[in-house]
Amino acid sequence: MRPSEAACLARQALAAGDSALAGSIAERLLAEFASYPPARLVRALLAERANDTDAALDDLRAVASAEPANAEARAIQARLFQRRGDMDRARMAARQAVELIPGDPGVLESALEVLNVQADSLDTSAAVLARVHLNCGWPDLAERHARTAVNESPERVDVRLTLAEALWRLGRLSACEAECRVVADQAEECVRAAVMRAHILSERGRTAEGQELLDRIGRIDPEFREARELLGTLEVHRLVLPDVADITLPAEILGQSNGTVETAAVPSPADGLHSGASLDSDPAPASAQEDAGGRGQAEMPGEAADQVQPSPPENALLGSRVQGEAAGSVPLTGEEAAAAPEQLRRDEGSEEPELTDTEEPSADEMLPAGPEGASDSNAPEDEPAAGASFSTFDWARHLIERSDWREAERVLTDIVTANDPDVSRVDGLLLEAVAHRDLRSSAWKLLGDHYMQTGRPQAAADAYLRAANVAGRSEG
Amino acid sequence: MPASDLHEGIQRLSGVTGAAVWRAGEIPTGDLGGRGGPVGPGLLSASIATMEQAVETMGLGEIVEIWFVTEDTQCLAMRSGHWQAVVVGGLEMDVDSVRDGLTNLLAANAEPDA
Repeated sequence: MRPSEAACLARQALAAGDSALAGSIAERLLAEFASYPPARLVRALLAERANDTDAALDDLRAVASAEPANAEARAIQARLFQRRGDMDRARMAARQAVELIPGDPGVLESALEVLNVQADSLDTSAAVLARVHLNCGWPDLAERHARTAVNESPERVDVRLTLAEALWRLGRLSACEAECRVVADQAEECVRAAVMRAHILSERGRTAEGQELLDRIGRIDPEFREARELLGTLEVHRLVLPDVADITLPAEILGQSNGTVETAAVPSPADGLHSGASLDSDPAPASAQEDAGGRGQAEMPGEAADQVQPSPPENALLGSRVQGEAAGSVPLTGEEAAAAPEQLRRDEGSEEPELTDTEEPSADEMLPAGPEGASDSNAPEDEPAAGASFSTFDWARHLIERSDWREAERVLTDIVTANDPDVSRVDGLLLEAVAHRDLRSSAWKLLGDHYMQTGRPQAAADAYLRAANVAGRSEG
Repeated sequence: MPASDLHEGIQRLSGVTGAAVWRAGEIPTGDLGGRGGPVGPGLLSASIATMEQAVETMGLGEIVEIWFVTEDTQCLAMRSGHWQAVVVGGLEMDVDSVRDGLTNLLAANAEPDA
């Protein structure tokens, strides 16, 4: 039995008033997966019923750490704080639950009850707008509102996570990584942040580390539901989702239940690779409130190339306008890539397959940096499997890691000259490059060139000025 | 015509000691007579573009040309269709004749949809 099915059985037992059975199943699950959020939620609800507020809050804290966007956990926290008479925190938690846009009407109702308001009397906050836009597949708008929300409530880890995810979907991996670190500081078991970090590591050629991180997520999310949801939005990635762990419930527990899970007829999350299937089929009530978001995100593949491409400025100044257009190559699905890695490697020099994911859709980045076929002669030996999706961007990062400044500069120049339509991705790479002293001057200059290409003369002037200053200091 | 060819033509204008030229959406290329090093053409064109942006934002319209003079240098920035150019020269540079020459060069190389 899948852990989510067992958790669903526990919720059914809880709803039927069979606390003993619900508790047995939750304990059995937690014995196997100590931080499994749906089981922790069941235990928290049981503790709430038993008036053990402290125990319930402990479990909810763990759930919120693993799933900062879990609206139900926030709603229960709100009820518990209210019961304690801590109305400030109760309202704060309730507000957070509402802003997480719970799909379960019961959760919304519970939070509104604490707030003592009707749903239509609530203001639409930046946090809500960010979440809505993210769910609709508009990460650029989500990012804008998430930044406003972060400024308003810097302590809100769920808002940080929304910002991180928007950045991730935009392909701004360095910025995303920084936000993920902030999230991890406050919610160290955050699964979603860990999945994004695993992907970022793999994109930087540190696939083994990324895979290891992904494997560790299994302790909290044994069905890798969030990993499937996020990675399912990518056309291709290098991570391998581990096998889903099953759980065997003792016969006496199964005997007490009617033995069926109401939603078990629906395929388990583990049965489908892509997020749409996994989320829609997830029977765990604890995650029901995320379904809306999940579906929205699952619609992302194929859209992202358009999302990240900025609109050309209205007025073409001396600073110019964006000219790039999304390259029209046929994207590969994850399964296709996995099924035919050799084919991919064979084709990478002659065609321009879309490589990594929908957020990073450049087609020409697949090609080696230069006519010498640098990736053939100098490809990292520890990455034989990465050949299928080793992009020019990865190559540049690899050269930077190896302190091969001249070659790195050449590859960066190629990237800027190619005028990749994924503007933010190029921004991110060049901003990474300026952090390295030996590359700083040329990277600032290239950043200036890139800003000019993309109609941002003020930023370009600043970048050129920095390049000139760095060059001046070096000469001095 | 490639920007490099146009740059050569501009450099031949009387009194011009340095020039940068580029199409909208491309990287400014050229040489300002060694001033500013490799960053010079980009820095000057980006700074002028910033001024253009400010002027447009204020609703003052679109700048057609900018000319300024320092204690030893004159600078003229122009746009014509897709082409944009910045030229520098000494105080002896005849700006009117450079303007005419530059206008002709840029117009002669205007692209059909410009």
